[in-house]
Amino acid sequence: MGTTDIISLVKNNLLFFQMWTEVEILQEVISWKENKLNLLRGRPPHKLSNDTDAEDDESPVSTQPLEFILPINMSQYKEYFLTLECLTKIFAQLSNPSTERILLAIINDDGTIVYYFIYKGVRKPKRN
Amino acid sequence: MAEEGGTRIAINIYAKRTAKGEEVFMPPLVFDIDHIKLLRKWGICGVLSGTLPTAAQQNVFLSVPLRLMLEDVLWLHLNNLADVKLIRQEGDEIMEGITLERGAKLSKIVNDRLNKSFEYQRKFKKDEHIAKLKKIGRINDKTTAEELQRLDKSSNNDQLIESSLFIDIANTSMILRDIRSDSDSLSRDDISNLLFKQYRQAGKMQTYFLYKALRDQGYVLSPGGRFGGKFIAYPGDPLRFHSHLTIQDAIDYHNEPIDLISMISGARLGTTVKKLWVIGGVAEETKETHFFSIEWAGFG
Repeated sequence: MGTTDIISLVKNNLLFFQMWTEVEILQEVISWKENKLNLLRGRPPHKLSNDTDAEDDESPVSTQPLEFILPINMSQYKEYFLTLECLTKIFAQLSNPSTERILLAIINDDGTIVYYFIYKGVRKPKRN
Repeated sequence: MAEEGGTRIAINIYAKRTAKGEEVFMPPLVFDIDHIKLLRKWGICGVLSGTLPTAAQQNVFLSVPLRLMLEDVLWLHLNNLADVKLIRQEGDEIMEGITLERGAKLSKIVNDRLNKSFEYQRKFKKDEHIAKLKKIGRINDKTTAEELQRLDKSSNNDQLIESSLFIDIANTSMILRDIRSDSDSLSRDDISNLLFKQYRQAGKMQTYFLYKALRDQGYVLSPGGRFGGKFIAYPGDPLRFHSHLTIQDAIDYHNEPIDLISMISGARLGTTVKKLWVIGGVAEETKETHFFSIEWAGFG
């Protein structure tokens, strides 16, 4: 599966299956070891379960913050691909430097996608 | 860090030789209760591994020795807070090395200490008993010694006291304290080199730098096998907090890819046990440690 394929696969999955909005492919391309990395940006439909409940008082209609999404093929890790250096680089090149996490979209051979958050540094798990 | 009057932790490490002649360290052990308390204060908890003579079948209430991780020992040694004693003799060799004369002396010391402790306990119990009898009015200040003895006999008091005495067991071994260990002639640097060599044989040196970086951030680290990691990290004393992180072995910062399958299984497990799955490595040029915490997004 080519790089463009997995990007549109993740985009469609977010838009039409996870019901995200404003999902777009970012123009900036991060080149990494003969690969071009494209990031997506989008807005989740509701508060994601691992966010802390600090803003409990907020009304449910308030919009969720935008998330950055990195699509990656499950097989890519075999090619010395997703190293710590690569992650550092991605965080450094995000348009918003205060971004503390990116969403890793891992695409399996059968097209299923799993989503994992990557935080820079050591972080507390959510409360409760 | 307060040095508590300069107390240095006494760590015993037994070294064994494999069939190929390589030296392998057994788990580092600490026997002294005061040292164990101090270690805990410093955020090194270790694992108690000795059997309690009074509860031999219980494996949740264990006693000295405290078993440390090699990372703990490295950290203590590099910060000059511990004396590492390397014991290269086998246990039976040590025992054989004890002369009859020395053996008799040791057993006399043990017996004397035990008798002293019994004496003290007997007196304490008797005094307590008399106070009780006085309180309920069975005896008063005029009661004679003979009267007391008669009362004791009639209620088998002495026998009861005898059967309720505690046997004090020493925490530290006098035999171990007295033997000359090979490390007596080794310098601090020699011991550092030996520890590093052992550490490299068992895993990656970089993992120690992850350990150090997390300790410097105030985390208390324990072995992480229970949750599928190298360490688990508590934000304070493990009796007060749940652990927050499962830390993996260090990976090469530039050339080692993150194993996505173990990341997924680790982070998914972490979601159910409320721990973040943490991976890290050291950038060689800057010597900087980089950590990334990963958790399941909650969907997909």
